[in-house]
Amino acid sequence: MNKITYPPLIKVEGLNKSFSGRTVLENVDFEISQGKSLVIIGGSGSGKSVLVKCIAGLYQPDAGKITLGGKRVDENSSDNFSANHRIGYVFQNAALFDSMTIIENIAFSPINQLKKTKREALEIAAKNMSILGLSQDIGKLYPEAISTGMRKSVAIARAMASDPDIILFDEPTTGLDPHYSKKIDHLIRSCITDHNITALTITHDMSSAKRIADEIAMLYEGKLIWSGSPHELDQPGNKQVATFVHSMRHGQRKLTHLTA
Amino acid sequence: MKSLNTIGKHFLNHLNAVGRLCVFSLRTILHCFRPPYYYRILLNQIVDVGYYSLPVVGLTTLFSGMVLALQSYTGFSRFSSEGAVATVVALSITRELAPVLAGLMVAGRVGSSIAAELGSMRVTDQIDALKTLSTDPYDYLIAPRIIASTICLPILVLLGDIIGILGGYLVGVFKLDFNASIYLDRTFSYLQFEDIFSGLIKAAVFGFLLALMGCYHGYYCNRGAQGVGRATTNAVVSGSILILISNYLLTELFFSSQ
Repeated sequence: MNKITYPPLIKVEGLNKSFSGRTVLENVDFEISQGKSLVIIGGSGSGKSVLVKCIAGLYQPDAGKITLGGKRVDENSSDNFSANHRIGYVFQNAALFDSMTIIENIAFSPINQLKKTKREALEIAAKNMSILGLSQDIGKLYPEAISTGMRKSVAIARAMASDPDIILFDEPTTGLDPHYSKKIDHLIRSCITDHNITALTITHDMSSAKRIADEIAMLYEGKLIWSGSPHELDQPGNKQVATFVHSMRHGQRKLTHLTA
Repeated sequence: MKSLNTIGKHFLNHLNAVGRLCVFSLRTILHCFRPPYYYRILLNQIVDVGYYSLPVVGLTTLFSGMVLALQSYTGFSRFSSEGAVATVVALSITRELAPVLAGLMVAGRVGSSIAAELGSMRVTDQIDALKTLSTDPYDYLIAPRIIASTICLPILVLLGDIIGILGGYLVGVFKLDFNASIYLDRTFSYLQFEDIFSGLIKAAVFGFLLALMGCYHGYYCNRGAQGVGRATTNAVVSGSILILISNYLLTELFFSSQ
């Protein structure tokens, strides 16, 4: 039987971005097929967040092509929102609207993006909360009243509520204990498999990367220097990747030991 | 050579900031006249700018009217023209004091609040989050604040006119022993529609400018808590200066058109 192959949903070609003369991304190329999950690892300042923001349309690349579902988005300015219509974005700090309750945060996208009535939007929000294991009781609380981990879950619920084809996760497990990190990883994985969502995640948490990824790539000083399967991460065949993975794992072991 | 470089760099930075402000202002005006409109947010802003600024504007104009009555009485009594006190209070309040004082007070209260709110939204990525949820921050955050401020300030100034004149009346009648009906007659017989109207036009311009400065400094805020503090200060300072400069230009415009 022939395997059905889908065209890539996210395609990045020759992406360059610099700020005040400092090159942050240099000739970045990759593609992600529909329903697949690519995790990009890399140290602080390697350009991971800038890459994701370019794909989300928040930054305009200096050069290169970004194609989402066959539609070029790099030609639009950062304020052209139609380009982002089917993208969910989970920010590193969750970026929940602090003037709105949790349920209003999740219902925001169905009301404003999908043009649902308030009642329909609240139903979608409640459904998303239960899918993500969030108690309905927290719906009336404001973001400041819940934990960091819960905020990340709410941010995922908010991104999911827009019924996206693509979700971009910016350091989804940063600042969480290993137990909650596993929970968030599980949520992300179930979003990808249950809803056929294409995911791009950036992280420097190796355990998280292996749990979420179908494929892993490493960004180093703005360049993609390596890509492979999660299993290949143990023997990457690249000195910089091996050093980075080793140092991250060593740090994580110490953290796990301390939290235990 | 090094100092020339520094001067050139500062000049270019300022030029860049002016250009960014011009683009921001034009985009803001465009979005004020272009749907979508977020009516609930607009209503909230009208309540916040209009209703909650009323005590500040009311107290400011009340005491300004009272002080003006006392001060003008001191001056006019030196050449036996005490009868002009009521007219001077009414004209000064409607043409100048109520719009400028209300503008400055609201710049302090609302301009700073807008800058702080938008600034903290910027540094916590909430503005970027809006963009990723296909919502234009100019439509959702900026236009409602600008429209609310431009609508509310003339209403506040109109109420400030009444309260300021009332302040002058209270001092004139109860402290300076003017006859109440004569004081009222002197107030309204020389007051023309243009006096009130020019003050309201000024108020609308001041309302636009103070909200624009709050939105601009908040929207382009950076560097965390320090940046939010700086944005708030800049919003109030630049808003107040623009109010004073535009006050002179508008006064000259109205003066030359008479």
